[in-house]
Amino acid sequence: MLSAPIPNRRSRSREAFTLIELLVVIAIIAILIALLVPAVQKVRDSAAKTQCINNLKQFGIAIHSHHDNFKHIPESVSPWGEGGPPPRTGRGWILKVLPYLDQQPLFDAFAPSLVGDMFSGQGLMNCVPQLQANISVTRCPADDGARGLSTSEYQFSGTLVAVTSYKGVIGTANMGGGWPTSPSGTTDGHNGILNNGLFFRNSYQVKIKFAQVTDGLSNTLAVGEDIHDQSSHGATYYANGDYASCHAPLNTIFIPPIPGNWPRVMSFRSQHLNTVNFCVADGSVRSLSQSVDWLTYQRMCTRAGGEPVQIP
Amino acid sequence: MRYLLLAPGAVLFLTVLGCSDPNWGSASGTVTTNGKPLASGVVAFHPTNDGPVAVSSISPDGRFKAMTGAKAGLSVGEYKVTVIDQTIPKMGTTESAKLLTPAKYMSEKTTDLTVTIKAGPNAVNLILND
Repeated sequence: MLSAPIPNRRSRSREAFTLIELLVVIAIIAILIALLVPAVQKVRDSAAKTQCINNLKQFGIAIHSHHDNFKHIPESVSPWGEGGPPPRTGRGWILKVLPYLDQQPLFDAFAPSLVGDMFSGQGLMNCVPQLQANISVTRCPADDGARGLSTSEYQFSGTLVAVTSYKGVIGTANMGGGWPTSPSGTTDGHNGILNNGLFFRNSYQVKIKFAQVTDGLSNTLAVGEDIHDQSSHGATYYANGDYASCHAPLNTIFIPPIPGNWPRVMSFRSQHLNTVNFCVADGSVRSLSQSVDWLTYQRMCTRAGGEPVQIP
Repeated sequence: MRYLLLAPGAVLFLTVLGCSDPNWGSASGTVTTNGKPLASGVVAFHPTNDGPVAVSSISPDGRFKAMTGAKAGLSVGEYKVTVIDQTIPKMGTTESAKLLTPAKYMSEKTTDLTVTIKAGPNAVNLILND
């Protein structure tokens, strides 16, 4: 009778874990997970960046294909009467390169927008359903704000439209005078035809050719990325949603965002760690570090500034 | 067994300790002009040596928190601080922005606001004088 409980107790201790053992195991698993999570996050970030670079490469190829066909860089048509001839359709350059992004049917669907002025309810407003076509090549996976449609785009307030993460480089135009300390000293000409970059809303009046990029195609930034929620100037197919300026320091991000303050926010930035991807005019894609000198960065954004500059 | 339990705790503690970068600080505070908080505008931190510009928008209660790109905070070191508030011109017009803050705070060449950022949190309170 006395000897019976002893083997019983011994066998019980073999069958079950003690509290301490359990806690140790849980702690070890917790540490392993803690080590794993940042690694997984890093892989996700780097995959997003790779996808983003791919998209920009597509734009590079599309711009060159367009130049082969039309002998000039894809143009935008301002909806405002800013010295250009009617119709002021509001069609942007991204719309113009759709055939070279494997989107010929969408491009064809936009044909009604060739007629009439946008601010008279025609032009791009003839194609409101098409404005919602959310194609993946215009969106950086790291840019959450570009994933869905938006109703808060400038000039499309209340209208649901697709938005783009990628903007053409207007040059160093000091949008609305928002960055008076801009080292290039360029004044604001974003609504004119004298911009020193490649993409602006009145470019249909001048139609820039590669031959006019005298700084060299490999020394001039063409298309860069933006975080949509920072600027709310991003209606994908619209001439006033598809460009940004190098007037602000690279990767200027405001938390909370101040999209209403358009003179300060129509610039280039990204959610990738410390770098912003750009498509260069020669069709290559580079990642610029945000620690690039402000003036050096501005020199990369001009097509014929005559400054000696090399994109790293 | 008791020491085994302490080990994971020690590892976690060291991990947290390792995350505090000795070359990185945060900068937050308020901007006041004529004794009242500045309700809008932008604060920019220009490094006196090479490095990225850190920026912040100013919230309606005058508060700001500097960001370098997508990351909160900025590198340690000396900075010249500029503060600009302007009217927002209407888009599609040739209207230009009007400056609402004293002009000397507009440029890093003329501003008299300087700040030294140390590792960890930095309280930066900016007072603008005409």
